[in-house]
Amino acid sequence: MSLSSMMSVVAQLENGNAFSQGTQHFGAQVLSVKQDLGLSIMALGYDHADDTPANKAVEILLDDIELNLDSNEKRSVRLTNESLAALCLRESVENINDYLISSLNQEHPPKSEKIIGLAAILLHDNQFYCIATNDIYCFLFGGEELIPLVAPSGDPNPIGVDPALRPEVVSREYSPGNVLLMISVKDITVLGLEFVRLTLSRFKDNMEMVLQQFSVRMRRNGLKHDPALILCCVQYAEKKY
Amino acid sequence: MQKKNTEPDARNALLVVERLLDKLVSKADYSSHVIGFLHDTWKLVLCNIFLTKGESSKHWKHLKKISSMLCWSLQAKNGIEEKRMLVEALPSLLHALSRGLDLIQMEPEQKQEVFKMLAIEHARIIRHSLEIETTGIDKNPASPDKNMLKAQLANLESNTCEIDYILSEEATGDIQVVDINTSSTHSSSDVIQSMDDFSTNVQEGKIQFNDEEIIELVMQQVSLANEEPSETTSDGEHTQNLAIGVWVNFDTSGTINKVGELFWKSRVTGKCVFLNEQGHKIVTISESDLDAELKSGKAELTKVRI
Repeated sequence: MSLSSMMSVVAQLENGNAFSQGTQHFGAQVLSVKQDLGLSIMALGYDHADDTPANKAVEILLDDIELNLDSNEKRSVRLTNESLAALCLRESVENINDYLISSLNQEHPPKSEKIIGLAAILLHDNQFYCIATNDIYCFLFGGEELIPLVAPSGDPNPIGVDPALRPEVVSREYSPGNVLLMISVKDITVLGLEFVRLTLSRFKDNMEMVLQQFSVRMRRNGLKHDPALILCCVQYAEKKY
Repeated sequence: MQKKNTEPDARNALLVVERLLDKLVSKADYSSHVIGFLHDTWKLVLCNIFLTKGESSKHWKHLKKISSMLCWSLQAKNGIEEKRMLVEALPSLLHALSRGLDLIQMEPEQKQEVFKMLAIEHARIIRHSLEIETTGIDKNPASPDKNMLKAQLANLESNTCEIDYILSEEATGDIQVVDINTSSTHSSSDVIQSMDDFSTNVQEGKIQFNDEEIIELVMQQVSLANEEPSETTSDGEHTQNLAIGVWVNFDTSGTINKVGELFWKSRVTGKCVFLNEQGHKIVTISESDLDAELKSGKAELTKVRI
């Protein structure tokens, strides 16, 4: 059974554009979904930045995962400390960090316009792997509970600043009915954790309704934009969007 | 999908190209004509390929090699072997330059001027190398001069040493080095004219050769990869086809056991990660640095059975 038939994914940008496959961007946000790889990526630049560093980060991550995750039969070494998927995710994010830092040294725009927050979820071998830096939350909804997988720490840790950045990869087995959510800190603050939990509990088999509820909530709180997010629903018999 | 802004790509292309050229011209003293050609004209060719084919394309990588080779060809040569390599490489180099200039649709007259300038430069290099070899004295240090052509011709005419080789065309069109000796009767200006004619023949396709093979051969022998900026993405003759699962010994001296399998690599940035047999990371290295280590012999490909 292919990954794309085992899950349904929807990504939404701040302008309300929603899609389930491919890469799209709005302002300094870039969202990408590659269902055949089981990979979803969110890259958020700062308000005044263009989308160049975020686009580059997504490009690198997509290519790195595509190249390295499929090559396992060529390797002799067997990992014991971590899985191949976790290693690939971690190495790729560090790779992006190194790339942005080195490109920052040559380019003129101020650093604040060239650093990004980055998060990715990868489904591989019946597990999901999650990595997130700076200003992006990753949640698992399952058993009526909304469980934070990766939450921003007190100290900001954007990509493109600290060469010693060592992001952590969180992994868990997934079960039918699980929903994975990537969303920015500012948007989840507006929506509220309990509202998100209740909405997912009620409408988890209808992602379109989930997005509508979130949108209405944002308007009621005085905001004109929609929340930028990626929702990944695992192993549903019907794919509704 | 929102249309991508192309301005950052052009800016990035210019940045990369200028860094490459700055690095290349910093390696030796080139004449103002050569530097002008590189920064005014050849830069356009580099930008053209960078933007149309991309940084990771083989076209861009090939063009970088040609640029390195051009700069190498304009540096003083030591010994018969280097002069021989220059002579053998010139057809392919000039042909590649000609094709590059076609990309930016240079006028034939302008192209002719470029090749005339290069002919004079190459003749000067060969003569200069020969002078040092025979007299041990550097009478004519390579330094930029506004009236270079006139000054060089005057200098060459007054010199007693003669250029010592003849180029000729066989019926098949192949260019051959006929003779290398120190007793040629050709005058210096004749040689410059010969090289000029030779360049023209190359441009017009009267001379046949295998470009890529010859460029590769010369590049390997003179280790020109070291002249390329390590910051740019480097294909590396050794790392280009280095596949995941390949084993590399990073210490050929045998002092320490540092053998690792290429476990992870990035096509976009060129980063490579090597793990040892126990699955621990031993090396994180860029493709260009790895290529340099393989070339220098500090590292070598090996086979490890687990």
